[in-house]
Amino acid sequence: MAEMLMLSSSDSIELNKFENKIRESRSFNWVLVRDTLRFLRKSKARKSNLVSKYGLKLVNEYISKLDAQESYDIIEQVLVSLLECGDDENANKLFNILKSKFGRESVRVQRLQAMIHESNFQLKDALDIYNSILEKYPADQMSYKRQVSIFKCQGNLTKAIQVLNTYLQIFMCDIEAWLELSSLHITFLSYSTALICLEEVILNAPINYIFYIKYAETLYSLGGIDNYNMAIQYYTHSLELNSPTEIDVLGHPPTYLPAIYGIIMSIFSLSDENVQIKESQLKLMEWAQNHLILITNKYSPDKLTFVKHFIDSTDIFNKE
Amino acid sequence: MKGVAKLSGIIGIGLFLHTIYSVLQHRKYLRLTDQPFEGVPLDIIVECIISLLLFSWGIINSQNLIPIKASTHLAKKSYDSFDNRPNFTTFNNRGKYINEIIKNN
Amino acid sequence: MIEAPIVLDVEIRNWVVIPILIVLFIVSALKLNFSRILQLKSNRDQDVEKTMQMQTINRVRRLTSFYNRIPQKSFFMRKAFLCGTPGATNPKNRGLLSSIAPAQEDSNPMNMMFANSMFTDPSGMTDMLKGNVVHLVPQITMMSWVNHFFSGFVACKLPFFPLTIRFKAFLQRGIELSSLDVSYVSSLSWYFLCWFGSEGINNILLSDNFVSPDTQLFNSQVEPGPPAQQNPIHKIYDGERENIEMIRYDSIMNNIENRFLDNLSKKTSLDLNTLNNLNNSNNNNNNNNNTLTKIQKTKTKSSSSSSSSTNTKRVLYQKPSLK
Repeated sequence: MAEMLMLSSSDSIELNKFENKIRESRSFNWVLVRDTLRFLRKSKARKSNLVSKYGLKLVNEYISKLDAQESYDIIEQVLVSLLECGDDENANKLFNILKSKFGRESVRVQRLQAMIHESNFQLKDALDIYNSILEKYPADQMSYKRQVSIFKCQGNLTKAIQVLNTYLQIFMCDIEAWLELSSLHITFLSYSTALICLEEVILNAPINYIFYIKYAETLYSLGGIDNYNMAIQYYTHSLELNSPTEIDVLGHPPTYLPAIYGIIMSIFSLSDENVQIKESQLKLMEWAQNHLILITNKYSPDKLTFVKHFIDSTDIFNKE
Repeated sequence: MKGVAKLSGIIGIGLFLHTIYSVLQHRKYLRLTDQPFEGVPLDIIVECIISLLLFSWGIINSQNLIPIKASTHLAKKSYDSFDNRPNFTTFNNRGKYINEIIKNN
Repeated sequence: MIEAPIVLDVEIRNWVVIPILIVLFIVSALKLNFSRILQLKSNRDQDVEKTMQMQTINRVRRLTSFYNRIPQKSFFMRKAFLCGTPGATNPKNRGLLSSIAPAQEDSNPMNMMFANSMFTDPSGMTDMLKGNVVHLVPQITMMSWVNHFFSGFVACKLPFFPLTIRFKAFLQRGIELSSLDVSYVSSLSWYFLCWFGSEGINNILLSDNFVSPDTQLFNSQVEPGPPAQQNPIHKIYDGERENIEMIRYDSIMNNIENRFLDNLSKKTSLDLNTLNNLNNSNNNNNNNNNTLTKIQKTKTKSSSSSSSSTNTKRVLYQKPSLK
């Protein structure tokens, strides 16, 4: 049943369904909560509040009903989101369960210990733990990443970038780390460096439309005629991957709207640069405007006036 | 529709098992009457083909098929789903303070 | 000619068929536990150097297959980083893929293969050895045990319809009787049947002890390192470098707007067309089928005849008059 739902709707809709069902059910439905946690682990969506509230109850009262293999994953998941919500008391309780089960030697338990330190802002202790893990196991990816986020937590972004760079020299196929590095560079407004990171992400996941949009957005932020042109191309390619023609087949609201807005904005900005806009780009612009209205009409008609105003203000055809 | 498809799948399997049994019977009969085995009779062949068609039609239509293009699965992800990088979470957020407020109330 | 059924001794059932089953079950339970113990102990060395090399190879392969997704400048930047600038003498400029010098090795290719694949990396070899020990040794001992004690007689009869004559060699190993019906099974073959058939049942019965890889990670230390490499690393690097150097850059982003629009109009009778048609029917007076020429006209004419051209462009909404 859950599988079938997942085929026909986008991740965010699916998540909302889970959330509503949990909130609406009168008694505590542990199967539903377990499925929700499973879905969250898979989709990597962040719902710390939900996980900590219902997951804690699940772990406290229904742990015996859970699969032995899965239960420890769930405990870890709940623990981390408890830390994110600042509930250290319960997090420590869960940590003691894992510690008594696997002992202090387990690297995963050590890491959790360090994360508890982090949430108490005992950053030095946490760093020490990660360093000791790395001494023993120099190829432990998680510890590197946690070190980066400690520096991020301190606000020491330069150091974070430095550590992340050394990490990426070894593990150069880690998409998540490249994305993190690009976002760190973007906070320093060094878009051209961020572009290099995003290129690496694209090379690693060439069929994911999201990364093309991210790349195009960075190009757009950089500005200039060439970059606008390239941004249009990358937006268009992301539309090719997440195709508007398949929208009826998929049966969920479109997820490619950023690309359409991007196309409109890039062509609009291009028209300010005093260059001849290509015929194909004009066609694309017209298609994008029409399609935007079409989608808005279909999925959220109440926002139609906003969209119309947006289109009017970015109109290149009737510029006064 | 799905019920019909499932039924036809089951019928297909049943018919197929029946053809197997028929062939065995046929061979046994030939052995008992000391005739050489020259091939499967036509009605069994036809039954076998029909069972195959029924079964394949049933299996294709009895459940939703997943689209084959990998990009359609990625299209389910919303644009900001990659902005959450769980390995890089930091804990200096508003969670602590909100939690205190909730507790005090 | 229906044969009279052979009467099998009850003692055979009690002392051959059932004991073989039980012994097989016990052995497979032992095997499972034993292999688990060995697995826990086998921590592949986490070698940063080796991980890095594997990741480099992975990255280079991705670059060679998806280079057309990134701009030309970025591709050449990566090419220079990996392959070095041509004619560079400074070792720093020779690129990542030339950074590993071939070690001094024997000219004998056999030796070289061994030197690189197994003996330099003992963990790979011991892993292989362990696998062999766990799987092969019990099988050989059991087979010789069955063969030694219970050979030469029919152990049991299979139910259901008789199988064809071709299965004779499989089902009656150790009995050379051409006239015997195929459904009679010798003890050695019974052992094989149980061996192959019991795997699933054992998995269910012993599943309490079965540990999933995830929980194993909790117990043991960390993710295991990369598997042992077969070829010497610098050779792979050389091959990949040649691959990159052969690429003639070409971007899929060329002319992408037209391609995208063409596909759109091809795949569906999509909104663009329907809208155009609507346009045409709406104002026949000044209209021809090509919207685009109109747009350009409007652009050059700017605001002179805005009222008519706005109408032609979109029908879904009325443009609010700005003046």
